[in-house]
Order: sequence, then structure tokens, then C-alpha cells
Amino acid sequence: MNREIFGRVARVGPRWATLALLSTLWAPLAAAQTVDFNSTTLLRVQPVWTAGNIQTGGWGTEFIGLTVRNFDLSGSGVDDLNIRLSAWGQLATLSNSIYTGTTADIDILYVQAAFLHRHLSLTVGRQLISGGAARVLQLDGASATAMIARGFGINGYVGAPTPQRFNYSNSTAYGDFAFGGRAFWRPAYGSEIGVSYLQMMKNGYITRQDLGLDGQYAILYNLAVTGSGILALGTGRWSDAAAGIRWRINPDLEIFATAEKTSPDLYLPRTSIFTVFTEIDRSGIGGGVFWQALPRLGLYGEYQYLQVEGGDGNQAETRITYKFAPQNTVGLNGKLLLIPTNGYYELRAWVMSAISEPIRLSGDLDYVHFENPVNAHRNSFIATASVNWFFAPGWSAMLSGSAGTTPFFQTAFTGTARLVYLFTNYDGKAHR
Amino acid sequence: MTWRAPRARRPLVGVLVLAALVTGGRLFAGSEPKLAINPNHAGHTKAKVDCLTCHESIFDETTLGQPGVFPKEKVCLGCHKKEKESGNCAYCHLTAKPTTYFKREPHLVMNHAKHLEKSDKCEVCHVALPAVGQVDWPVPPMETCLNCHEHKEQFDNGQCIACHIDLERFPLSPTTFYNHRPNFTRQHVQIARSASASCTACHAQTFCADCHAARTRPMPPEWIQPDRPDRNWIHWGDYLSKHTVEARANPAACQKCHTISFCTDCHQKQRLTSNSDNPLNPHPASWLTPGGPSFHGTAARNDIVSCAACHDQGAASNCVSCHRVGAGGGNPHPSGWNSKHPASDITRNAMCLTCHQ
Repeated sequence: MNREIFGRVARVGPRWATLALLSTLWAPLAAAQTVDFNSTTLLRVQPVWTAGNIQTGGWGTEFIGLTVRNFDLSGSGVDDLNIRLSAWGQLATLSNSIYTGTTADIDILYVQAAFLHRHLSLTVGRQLISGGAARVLQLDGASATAMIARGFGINGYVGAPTPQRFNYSNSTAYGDFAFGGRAFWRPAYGSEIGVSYLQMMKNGYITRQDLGLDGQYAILYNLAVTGSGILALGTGRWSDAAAGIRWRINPDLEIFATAEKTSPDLYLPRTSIFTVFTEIDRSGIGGGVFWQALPRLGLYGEYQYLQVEGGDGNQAETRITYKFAPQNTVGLNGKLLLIPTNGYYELRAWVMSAISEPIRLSGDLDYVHFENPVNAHRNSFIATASVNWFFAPGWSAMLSGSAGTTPFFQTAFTGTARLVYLFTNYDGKAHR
Repeated sequence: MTWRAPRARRPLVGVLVLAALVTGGRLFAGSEPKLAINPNHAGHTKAKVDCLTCHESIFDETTLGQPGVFPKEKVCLGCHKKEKESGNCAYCHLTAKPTTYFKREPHLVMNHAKHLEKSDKCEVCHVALPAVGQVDWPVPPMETCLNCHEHKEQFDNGQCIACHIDLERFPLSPTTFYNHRPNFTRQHVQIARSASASCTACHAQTFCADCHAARTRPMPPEWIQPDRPDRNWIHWGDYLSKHTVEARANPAACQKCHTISFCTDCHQKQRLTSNSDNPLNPHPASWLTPGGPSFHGTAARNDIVSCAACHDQGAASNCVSCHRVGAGGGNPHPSGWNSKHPASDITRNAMCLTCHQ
């Protein structure tokens, strides 16, 4: 029954979302101590590759964000109440590519309230469920978190997984109903262990049924170990498991080590025919270091040995940053990813510079060399430059352009214009 | 009547308007408040001036931001009258146009009056004091508070509000093992899985949605912020070419944000799927030759997600035509399949009935 209700809600998503949006924007604004609003208007032109044909597309997108919080709720029994919205609308010139068409959607829209001296929190609407077996699940539904006592707590959620917007056939939607929860214990600050469960269904069939175990133990305030695993109950295999340790030896030196294992086939919904053909694993083990060698100079390096399809692989990243003045930084990033079927080496040099208080420049040169040809080419080069002008309190305007040559585009030009407006009346006073 | 610049002067007017906007922008652009009066704490300490000589009203301060805590000019003139009379304004004032102390919004629950009842030694908490030219204000770190206040229950329950007025507006940069230095974008995964409550102390879900609402977002964050090359975005640069390697190196990573239909639908547009118009065949020559160097069976056992990225059309998937029961493709299940999946499973999942009718 619930499944049908939430499935129906998911299918009529845009209508439901619009109604919810309108009802959200009304009365609470006046009663709230804090209203944060942001608007980002984006105009973008870029080439699109479709089966060998190249077209230039234009997009006009408006993103808005609204937070209404810090209500005066004295005597109501509600300790905290906030409403959050993140939404967008878009016009596009192309109709036959991904991210096209005239469309709009809501990323987040929920009402959240805390009761019983903040020991109980309820959230209703489109939200992100994070932690444990849920990983990060975008959900249209309700969730609750209860802090019981002595660090013990529990949360639960139920609803319809938010449909994937940018697909054409919707043939393999993950599910129309999901529920789950996580019980946890926080013995000390920075330490937590949890047990979680997620079940997702589509048309009455189970597409995911996962049991999660996770933990983090802060041995010292600067040293912690983490571990987590998600067991796919339908197959008795771990869809992913990971462990890591982070140690900030001193304020300038930090080291970490990680090990992880995933079963990519278990990321497919259990209603996909492709789940019956194979059981595959992907593993990685490695570590890295960050060293603030000088107050202005930061060095970072990371390496992972991989076991992937058909053999071994290697992944490494390096990063050098030098802050030559406040708000002025240059960086050099290197990356290699080598697997049996192909691999690439990437080198990226970038700069960010505030030439004056309101004007910031940034530039980026990105070069990639592929071991084996991609679309019959081995090299890719893109240069990007941007200028951002903070021209009034809360307002900024940015122009950005990039040009380059890649395996899919002999010459590629992209242009972006962005106007941002931020407003807050924190504590009942206007700030911008 | 509207004033119009003479035609010849229009470029000049344009330049002036632009210059005015730039300098105006400089005035308006938000920046951290700078010290306007030199407190010379070091000098006062050296002269053995007690803190309370200047900050006497701190005894009455029950919440941060109450007026009167910073000394008025007459308090300073009690010792430095000569400097004022000789016109040596720069002795105290750091700006040409003398201003008063800037106001900071209070972001901590802090009762100085109550603390001073226990001890009037300011240096118990204020180990360092603000000085001219200092980049960061030496506010006592949280460890200082925790030396006396354990706050275990608040920590356990994630009730930061007991001390922090609004961490969303006044976020703190963690200095512990989960400090956000250089590659935290990639490393936060493990921490967030076990301790997302720590994240939510400062970050609302709308912040997470910038990257994690991939099901509904019309574009990745690097398209919106091309002016932030310092951020280690996942899809930076020529990701279209790189995704052919990235997706094979870590197929699960894509699936964490994008459902497989995201792949198939784009690949359908590229005419790579069997149900697209006039489909292309990207497979090598020996793809259908058992035992051949590029036999599809071997490739599928190694990387089934890549197969699904083009061919997952439910019952219409072209694997079914050969691999269903009674067809010539043979049993596609991996070894040990039957021990984990009894025959009764077939009726519980419509997908099984595609082949086992």
C-alpha cells in the first residue's frame, strides 16, 4: 500500500514538487529570523558530440536556493524548525542530447523540525539520506532521527527514491519505494559505530536489500580509523567494504592509508538481467601524505594499487600548491590512472589571483595523454580562463571561456556567463 | 528630460562608469573587518597593565557582543592623553579616518561574568591576544573550553547549539583528523558514512546537493564553477574522453550517483545501444567467436557494468535472445550460482522469468 502511494508521488513528481514549493514560499518567510536566498543565473555555450555529429548548444539555467530558519518557536514544543529548498529551471537550444529540453526540477525541498530538546528530529520532503547502507540516497519521503541516551540513537526513513531526470527511456529506474534505517552509538566525540539496513523495491520486486556496518574510532583527536561495509543480502556478497586510517602527525603533516573493495555488479538493480552473468570485484589499496612544507607551499601525494577487470592497475595523484599572496595561488596537479584496457596521464596547471578586492582571475591548463587511443586520438588539451567580479554586496558576475582539442572535438570552445546573488537577513537584520 | 553624454565623450563616460563600478565594487565587496584601533596588547602586558584596567565592564558581560566591553576613549586617555594633545593620532588609530571598534556578530554562548566569578585570570583562556597585522584572530580554541567543560552529553547527541549559536553561519574549520585539507573532496566519503552528524553541524543538505543530487541536477558543479580550478572536481577538464577509462577502473563509482539508465540513455544517443536508430557496432571482430581473443563472454565476466551501460533494456536486452533457457547461448550464470539462488527465486523476481519461462 505504502509502496503504491510513494510510487504515485514519485511519478507525479514535478506537479507535487511545484505545489510543495508554492506552499513552502508563503507564510514561513515572515515568521523566520533568518532567510537565506541565493540565485545563480548561468548561460553556457558548448559543443555536443552525438554519434560523430557535432552541434553547438546553448543553455540558460537558473538555480535558486532558499533557507528559512531560526523561527521564534518559544512555547510551541518545537525546538527548531527549518525549511530548505534547492531548485532550478533550464532552457536549452538542443533537443537531442543529454541535459536538454526546457525543464525544471527540485534537488532538495524539505521541512525539518526538532523536538524534545533536539533529541528527536523529523524531516519531510525531498531530501538526501546519508550514512550506512543508504550511502547518499535522494528520497521523496520522510525521515526521523532519535537520540535516545548515552550516545545511542536511531534513524529511519521511508519514501520513493527520486527518479533519475536525465534519461530518455526510464527503463531501468532503480526503485519506486524504499525504506531503511540506522542504529548508532557514539561513545565519544569522533567515534561512532552503526548498523544499517536498506530495502528498495520496484513494482513489488526487491531491487536492493543491503545491510550496512560502519564505524569510526578516534584513537586520538588527530588519529582515527574508519571502516565500513555493505552486505547485499540477496547474494550474500559485500557490495563494498572499506577501511582507512588518518593521522595528522602535526599541523603541517598528515598521512593516511586506505583499502577498499567493491563488487560493481551489485550496484546494478537486482531486477537487471545483467546481475545474473557474473560476480566481479574491484580492489584498491594505498595511501598518501600531505605536507605543508612551507607556510605558502603545500605538497600532496597519493597512490593506490588496483585490482580491476582483467588484471592490475595503478592510480596516483600529486598536487603542489603555492600561495604567493593572500587570495593568490598557483597549483600543479598530476594524475595517472593505468588499467589493463587503457590508461591516462594528466597534468594540470592552474592559477587563482585576486588582482583587486572585487576582481578575481583564474586560469587552468589541462593536458591528458591516453595510453591507447580514444576515438582514434591519444591527446587532449583544454585551456580555461575566468574573471569574476564582486560588483556589489552579495552580487558577483563571472565570465569564463575554454578552448582546446580533444579526442571527440578537433576544436572545442565553451563559454559560460554567471550572475550570482546572495542574500541573508540573519538574526532579522539584512546582510548581503 | 534625460541627460545624454555628447557622442564624442561617450567612450570617456564609459571608462569613468566602469572605473566607478570597479572602485565602488572594491568598497562594497565583502571582506573581513580589519583592526581600526591598535590595542597594543604586547606593550600593555609588558607594562604589567592588568586586563581589567581597560576591560572592567567584562565583569558584567553575560553574552558576547554586549556594548561597553571595549574601552572607551576616555579610558585610553587616562594614560595616553599626551599623545592625543600632540596630535599623534596614529599612536592608537590605524586608519586615517578614525573609526570605532568593529562589531562582530556573536557566534558563541559565552558568559564572561560567570567565568570571572571562578577566576579573574584572563590568560587561563586568552593565551594569545590580537595584534596588529595578525592574519587570524587568536580566539581561544575549543580545547581550551574542553579543559573544564566536558560536554559529553552534548557531543553524544550532536547538540553543538549548547555553545555554538549558528555553525551554519559561523562554520569552524576542523583541526582534528577530519580537517578539510587538500583532498577532502575524495576522502570525506568514509567519514560521512559513519559520522554524517558531524558534517551536518555546519553543512545543510542543500550544500551536499550541489554534488550529490546528481539524479536531478542538470549539470555537474564544475560547469557552474569553472572559476574554481583549485577544487578537485571529479569531472574536471575533458571528462568525456576520460570517462572511458574511469568507468572501467571503478564502475561502482559512477553508479553511486548515476543510475545505469543514465549511461544507457546517453549511449543510445550515441547509437551504441542495440535499440538505437541505425546502431553502430563498437565491438571487435572476434566478439562473437568462442575462444577468440575478444570473446564477449570473457569481457562480460570481467566487466558486466560496461555491458549494462549500453544493453540494459530490460527484457528487450539482446543477451536474452541467446542466453535464455533453451536458446543456443548456454548457461550464463557464474559458478556456484545455484547454491545461492534456489529455483524458488525465479518466481520472486520478474527478471528471472525473462529467460526461465
